[in-house]
Amino acid sequence: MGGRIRDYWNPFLETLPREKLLQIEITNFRKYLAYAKENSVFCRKKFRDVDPEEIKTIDDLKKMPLIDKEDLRIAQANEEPTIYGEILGVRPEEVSDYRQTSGTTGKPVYVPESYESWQWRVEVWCHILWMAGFRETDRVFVPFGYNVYVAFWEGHYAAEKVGCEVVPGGALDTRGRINKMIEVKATALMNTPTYGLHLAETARKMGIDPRKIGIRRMQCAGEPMPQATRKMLEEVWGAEVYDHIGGTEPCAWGAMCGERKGLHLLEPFFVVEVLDMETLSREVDEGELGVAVVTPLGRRSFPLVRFNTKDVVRKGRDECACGRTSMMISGVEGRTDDLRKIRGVLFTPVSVEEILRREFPMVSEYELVVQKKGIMDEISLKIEPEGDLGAGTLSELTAAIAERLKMKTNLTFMIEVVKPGELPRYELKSKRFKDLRGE
Amino acid sequence: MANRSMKKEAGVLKEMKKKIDEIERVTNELKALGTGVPVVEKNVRVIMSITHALKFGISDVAEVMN
Repeated sequence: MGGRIRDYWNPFLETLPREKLLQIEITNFRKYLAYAKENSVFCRKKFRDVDPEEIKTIDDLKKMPLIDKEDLRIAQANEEPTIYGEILGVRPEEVSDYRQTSGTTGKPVYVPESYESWQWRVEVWCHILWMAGFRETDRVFVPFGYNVYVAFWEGHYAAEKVGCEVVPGGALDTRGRINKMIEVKATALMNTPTYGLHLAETARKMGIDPRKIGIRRMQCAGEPMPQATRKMLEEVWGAEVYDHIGGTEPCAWGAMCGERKGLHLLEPFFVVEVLDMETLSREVDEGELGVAVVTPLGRRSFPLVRFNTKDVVRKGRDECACGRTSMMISGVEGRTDDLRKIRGVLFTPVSVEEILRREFPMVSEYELVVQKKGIMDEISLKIEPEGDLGAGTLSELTAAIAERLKMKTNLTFMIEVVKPGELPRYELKSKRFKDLRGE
Repeated sequence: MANRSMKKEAGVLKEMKKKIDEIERVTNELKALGTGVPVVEKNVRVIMSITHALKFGISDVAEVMN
């Protein structure tokens, strides 16, 4: 066991030699698949040709079909015997919580949790928060109304289980939340990256330096966070900022340790495959981009076997200075849903955010729109500067941004400067990218 | 040295796994005794859910270490 025992939520598991981790994963995968086939009509149909006992290695998984979100929507189209359709893996009366996806890419998927499945999710989140340094001495402020979305519910209950004191900050506006954080002397935050920036911006407008509020750490959730955005948050809050990756359907399956150099896969709670983007049939090598396919091995209420998350990640190493032995991903590059072909060039909006946050911190908000002008695609970028920069500086700024984006994406952007405060602010998933070509 | 530490760890894990199995067994006995009584049935469900998490974190590791 490397490191000190209390550095880990579960020192036995987190420092287990990799071959042992994989042994647990494959054994539990077989059990989980057998359970799913027995208890979920959807899984029974989907995996009718797969015998769990024939799964001997992780490579054997590659012969099995994948589940994607559209499969789940179809399986829920017939809302019998419950709204969860044929996916449900427990008796309807065992369901204790209703959650749903945000519906960004279509009709929301309804996600049932039994008490057991919910506790399993909370346990996974305890790993995430402990890795991010949340401890009994933290007072965690969660500036959201959690609604039917899962992330902050998980974070709330896990923080409580870890031993933190949790302060829900839902029914307040942003100024009210800042005042509350100060009043209760919060030491930690859980929010979306976008809202973390908005909170800081609002605090400054109130004449309060966010660095002096006393926040020591922040766990982000709800939307992708490029490294540059994470570093910007660390700078404006004077706090350690942690990322994770996951979704409503499979739960969170990767998280950041104190080293903050990539994300650890949460093995052996999940089997995570990183597959080549073209065929989805080959595990990619270290350093290569691939699509994450995830099996959450403890979720019996909503059995998901080989769920295609559509998250595009770069496969990392299985070594980290923190002593954990889980495989890592070195970066989250976006989602296959977000990949667009514009004028024949593959484009992902995350690349714009990365450049703006890293190189142009005077841009406080932005919005990207792609539309047809005649037969040509046109991509425009609205930027909102922080404060009054003056005409000359703005002109230099737009020229510099256009040049950097051209170099990075090989696309020409029409750049428009809008007044401070004109662009929308988001609490949950931000919608800064609009593709209007189909309208 | 490392081997001795692994052995010690495996021993501790084995003992913890035994206790988790025992919790499960005793909880099931409690469930049987309290059939139909909400306070027993609902709290048994809570205990079993936590046991599920412990089996993932401890019992599974004990099995591969022994």
